[in-house]
Amino acid sequence: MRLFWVLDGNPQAVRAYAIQTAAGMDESDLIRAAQKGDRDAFERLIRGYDQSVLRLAYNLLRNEEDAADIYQEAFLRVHKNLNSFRFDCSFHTWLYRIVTNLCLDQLRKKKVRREEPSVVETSDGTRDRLDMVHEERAASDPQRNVLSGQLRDRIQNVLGSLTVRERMVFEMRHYHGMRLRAIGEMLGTTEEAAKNCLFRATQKMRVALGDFV
Amino acid sequence: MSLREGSNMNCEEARTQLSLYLLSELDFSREELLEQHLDGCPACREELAREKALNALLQTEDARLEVPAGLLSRCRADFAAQLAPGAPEAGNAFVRWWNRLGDIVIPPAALFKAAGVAALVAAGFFAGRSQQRFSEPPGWTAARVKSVEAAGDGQIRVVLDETRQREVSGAPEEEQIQRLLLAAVKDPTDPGLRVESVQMLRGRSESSEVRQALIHALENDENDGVRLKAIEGLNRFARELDTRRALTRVLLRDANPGIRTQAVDLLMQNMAPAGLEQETVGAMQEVLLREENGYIRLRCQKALAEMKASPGTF
Repeated sequence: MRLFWVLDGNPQAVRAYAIQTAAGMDESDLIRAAQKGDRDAFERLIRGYDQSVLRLAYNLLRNEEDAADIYQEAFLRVHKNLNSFRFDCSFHTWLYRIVTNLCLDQLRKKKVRREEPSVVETSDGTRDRLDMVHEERAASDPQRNVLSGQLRDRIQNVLGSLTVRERMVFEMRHYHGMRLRAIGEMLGTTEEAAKNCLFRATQKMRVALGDFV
Repeated sequence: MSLREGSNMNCEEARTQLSLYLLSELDFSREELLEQHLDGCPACREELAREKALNALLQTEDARLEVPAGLLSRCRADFAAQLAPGAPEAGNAFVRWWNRLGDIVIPPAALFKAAGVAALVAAGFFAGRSQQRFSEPPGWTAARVKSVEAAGDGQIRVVLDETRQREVSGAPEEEQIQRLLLAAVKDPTDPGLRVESVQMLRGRSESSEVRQALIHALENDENDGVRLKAIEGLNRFARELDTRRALTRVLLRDANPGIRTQAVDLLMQNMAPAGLEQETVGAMQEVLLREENGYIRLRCQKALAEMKASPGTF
């Protein structure tokens, strides 16, 4: 793991400066300010979500370029339509509805479910997923390395075999901590349907990972 | 997956509910039926243990694809360029500068604001971002013009406030990395940074300093995502007094029902005898009076019954 940070000798001083510039606005203040054209507020608003949006898109689409496209398109839509946001739901729900719809469209277009590639695009060119898994952990304990690689491969294979909706629900529930009711709301379906999706996805996971547990 | 309310649950039905049970996604009556069944069925309890192990496996770092390094920066840069299509060479130096500022504590937007009253000078990138461990790497300096004045001899005196970027990398257990992460957890300007930092600190919560930082984030952070990550980080310490007190306060005060739900679940999973739980008992009684969320009320009701405490205060 690498951490990037910046400091000018004294992190306290940097933090003090940051506090001074934060102006103590909460999210609804930021939204209102952004609706009035305050670019500073808009940038701070999206910075609260953009890592999580990118992570969701990347894990669903498994492709850097596709995830980057979703990022651009989602936040451009937010920028364009923010004035129509009326606080009927949380900004989080509104944003994730945009993101999940874009991801669903993209997944349907690419039919990822049936065509899960064994290679991924990286900044170093096209790489085999399996090679990457083992390389990433080359420095760690060899036995753990092998198990980790197998586990990750197995999980990725199952995720690749899920339907678009199963994958979406699984990702949002397990890795974004969202409640099934909220997920149902975002996907325009019921909590019960989201539950069923999650149940099916978990069954497939259990079968595939049976010998790990 | 239908259940007959009020009837006993059989093994087949019980097993369809286990994953939802572990995620606290069952309603009260289904949970009751399942727990009754589990009490009398060792085979299903074994299945529950396997389900727990599966969940734990899915939460390991091996379960997820990490976003490739640099992708977030690239997305931010591209987005900045799209928002400012008229900016000269928007895809190059300006955008990279914008983006690098975005990776640090000082928000670029705040600096844009400063630019309205004083010129903002990106004084240049030097030798790129080579990574050195705790040595002085080549960096870049951003400078804000603080004041300008005529020096009287035809010269102009410019006073700059400079911020120098430095990159540090290290293992999560290294003290300097932890210190920086602890500072990042409290950075008020960037919730995304706080979420990531809490996420990275979660595995280090055996350190009391880290645990205190997680408790502070859980109780004070305005961002739901940060609080959610913090409560997950405290999971293993839910039996400890300071953590329980924090969970109790969260149960009473947090605005987000999802986080209150997590708090009540953690409190319940690590319940001590009622005599040792006076604060929790009091909080749960209060919850019954004012909590809007039915699930949380029911969980508290059940916890109070298990501790043989009354549902109300007298």
